[in-house]
Amino acid sequence: MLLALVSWWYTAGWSGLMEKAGQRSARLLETFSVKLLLGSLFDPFRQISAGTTRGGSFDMQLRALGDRLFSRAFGAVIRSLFILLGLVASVAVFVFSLVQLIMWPFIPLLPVAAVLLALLGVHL
Amino acid sequence: MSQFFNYDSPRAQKARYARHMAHQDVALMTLICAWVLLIFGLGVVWGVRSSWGWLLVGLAGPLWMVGSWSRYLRDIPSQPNVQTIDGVLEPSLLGVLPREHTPKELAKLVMTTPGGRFIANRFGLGSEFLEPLVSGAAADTPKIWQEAERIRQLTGTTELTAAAVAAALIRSLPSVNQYLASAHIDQDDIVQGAAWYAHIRESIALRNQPRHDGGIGRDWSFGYTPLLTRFGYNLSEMPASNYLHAGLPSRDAAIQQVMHLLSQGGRSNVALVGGLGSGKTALVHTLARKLMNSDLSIPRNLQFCQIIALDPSSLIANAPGRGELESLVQRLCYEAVSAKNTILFLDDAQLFFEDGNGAVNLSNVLMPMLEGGALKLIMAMDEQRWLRIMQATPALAQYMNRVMLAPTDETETRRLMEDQVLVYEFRNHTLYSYQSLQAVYRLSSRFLNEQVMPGRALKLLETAADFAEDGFVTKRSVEQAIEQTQGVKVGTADTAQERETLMNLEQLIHERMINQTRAVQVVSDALRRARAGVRNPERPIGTFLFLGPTGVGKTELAKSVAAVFFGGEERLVRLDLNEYSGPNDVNRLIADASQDQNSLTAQISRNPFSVVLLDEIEKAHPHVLNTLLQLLDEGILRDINNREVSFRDAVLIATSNAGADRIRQHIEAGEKLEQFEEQFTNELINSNTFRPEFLNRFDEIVLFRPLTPEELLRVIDIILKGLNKNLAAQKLTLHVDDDAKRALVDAGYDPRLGARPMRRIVQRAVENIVANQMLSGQAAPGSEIRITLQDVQTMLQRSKAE
Repeated sequence: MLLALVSWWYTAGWSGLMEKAGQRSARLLETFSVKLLLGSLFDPFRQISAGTTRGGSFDMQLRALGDRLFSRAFGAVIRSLFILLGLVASVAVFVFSLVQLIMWPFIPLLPVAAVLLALLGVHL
Repeated sequence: MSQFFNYDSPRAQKARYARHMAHQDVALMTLICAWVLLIFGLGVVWGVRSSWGWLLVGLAGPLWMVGSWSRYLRDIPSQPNVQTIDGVLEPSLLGVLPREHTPKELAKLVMTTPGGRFIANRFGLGSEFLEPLVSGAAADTPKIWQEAERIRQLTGTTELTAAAVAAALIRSLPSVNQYLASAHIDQDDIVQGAAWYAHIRESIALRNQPRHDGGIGRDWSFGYTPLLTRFGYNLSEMPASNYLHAGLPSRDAAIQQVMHLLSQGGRSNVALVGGLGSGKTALVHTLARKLMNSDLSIPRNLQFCQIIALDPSSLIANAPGRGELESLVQRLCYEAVSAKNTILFLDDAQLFFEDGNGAVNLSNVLMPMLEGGALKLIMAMDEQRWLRIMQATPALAQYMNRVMLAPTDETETRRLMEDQVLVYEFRNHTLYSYQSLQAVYRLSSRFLNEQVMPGRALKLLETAADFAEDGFVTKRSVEQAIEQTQGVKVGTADTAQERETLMNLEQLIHERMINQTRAVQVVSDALRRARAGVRNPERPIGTFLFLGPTGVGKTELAKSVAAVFFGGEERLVRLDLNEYSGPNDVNRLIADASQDQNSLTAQISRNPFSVVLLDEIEKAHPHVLNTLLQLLDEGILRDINNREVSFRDAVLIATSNAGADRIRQHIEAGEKLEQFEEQFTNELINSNTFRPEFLNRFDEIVLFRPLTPEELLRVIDIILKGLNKNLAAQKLTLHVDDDAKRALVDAGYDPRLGARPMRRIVQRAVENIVANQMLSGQAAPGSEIRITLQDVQTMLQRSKAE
């Protein structure tokens, strides 16, 4: 069983970890709706000023245009912020996964290394 | 795929490890321990400045490995490219299989797995049944694997489940058909059971897949819908219990069609038309859930659209003033259009387009919105209502795209039931047998006519839980549910008392009527056939035409059957067809229950288990007789709304006095009924009294012969018996001398009227004497009232003089 565990660790276990790292990053990007927000970056935010102004006075139309522009600008800012947050979180997860991938082959050696460190009296 | 098993394959080894390791608790606990040791060890090294803390850190490593491996072992995918059976075998069975095994050992192991227990429990076979019956020779094992593989291919699954192996073992039994027949199933059912188990496993796997619901910014490009949230239900946010779990081809096609119509430009509105129970609302729930998933098959302009169902009662309650409702609905529609991701759903849409109680006609408000094409709308209603709306507001119908939702077929209904049953089992703490599902489909098709499939099957499925025995819903539970709710008898005669009644039907009927032995015989035979389960279920229990003079027991026999077999005379539905002599009287015959509760279809809808007595059938209009033809043939009559009403659990008796004189002539000439029966029927056809195609549709044409004075004496006895029964409440008994009875018969005998005058004579002569004696105090409680010949003669003379 030990042999099976060790052989899995360096084959399917390691490659599975890489796969999981990719999935984790993708999930995070989806949680922050990065793709959706990029596609609708300049859409009015929550359609707040999307009411029809057809047939209205010039003043009304001008005001509606202003509202719309504000809504779009506000939406673009909020969306950009969340896209940025999503990307940062995704990169953080990616870095964490990378560290995990690098550390992975050394974990079976941890008991031996730990005994050596203890005997050598290594402190942090 | 070969029929061999490779014990040493990596997948088989993995399954054996998984048996010990792949528990959620093991994985979780070891990973937690690893983290705790790591943090604590590092704390000791850094905080306490002791290098021995490294030992704790070192311990975390193996624990981490074990935890990770345990998580990995929980998922052992099939490897169909592997040529041996272990490539696809369900891990729970693969992990316990030894290198060499006989079918007997295999049977024992299968029953330790969920798949094996599923088959044993669902079919009510018990987990111990298989092992003693299967072969103990190892040489037979490849045959079992071969059969299991065949079942896997039949069920169309990638994985060879333990249920399929159990099914293969059952099918390998020497006297399998006989064995299965005792459990009311056959070999195909066992395969279906394996398919059911595989489907559950697939559904669980599907549910565990992550959903792509768009994330936190999904709705930022869409507007707020505060009004719609107040006056409607957001189906997209409702729990998953209301949608169709199974991928049903007919429903998937309907969903695709609805999506296509909603996504196209212009009038993207859908009228979902289907019978009650066809699953219109469930389909919209499924659509709502589907649209909230970033699936590539969903048109881009529908992705993440929410479906909001408007609540008519809430709308009406909140807009009582004149014009308020129209204004409110207009605002709701504008809100839906402005939000850009909202589809409105009008369930029971007729409520929005008809004036009346709890309904309102909003067609004038909705039509301009629909015409513009900006509003996306789904309506659901049945066909009758759709036709009515089309007739009343043709323009509205023009703006809608109709999608017909046909009732599901047997395969789809079964699949839906198999999914839904898991919900009911969880809710009611019951277990449904496979046979119960079969019975649900069969009996709901037959008796629950107010709905269509799958609604009626699901309704009965839920009701059957109330009749579970020890938490097990069986075929009998379903039969009881139908018997209790519909007032019919559907199972075969199963109690000793009922069997006794059936075997002595003639005797019981003769307690109420005299002679007519042939008529009593044919009716009794039909009833026995019905309760033994050997009759044709697609026709009424029995259809009889009783011919003969008045007062010979035709109606009395119908009443007797209702009382003895159907449980009471109130089970007699009697129609005098001389009241149906006009061409338009067909409408009265098949009127809807809401218009006429006493129409034939309405009465049978309420009480399908009845005797239908059609008196004086020769007086009915030919249109009425034509309507009855289908009823006699198929046991089905369509009401005025084209809904089927089943007469398949009724006994139909038509009576006629036509040719009564001819019968009397034959009898007086000393002929027996059997001798002139055929000739008499021909005479009726030749005289155009009945058309041959009408007479041919009856199971039996029974001739009733006139009663003789001796038989009328026995009729008097029956009447007096009834009278004595009434007097028993006052502790009195009545005795009429034999010569007095004879005098009563002589006074009332009329060969044309049969027994009918007898009751009048008894009333006049006997009941009057009894009444006088009681009122004068001559008959005290506990005494016997004796009526002599002289008493009768005196009373008869007095009444004649009056």
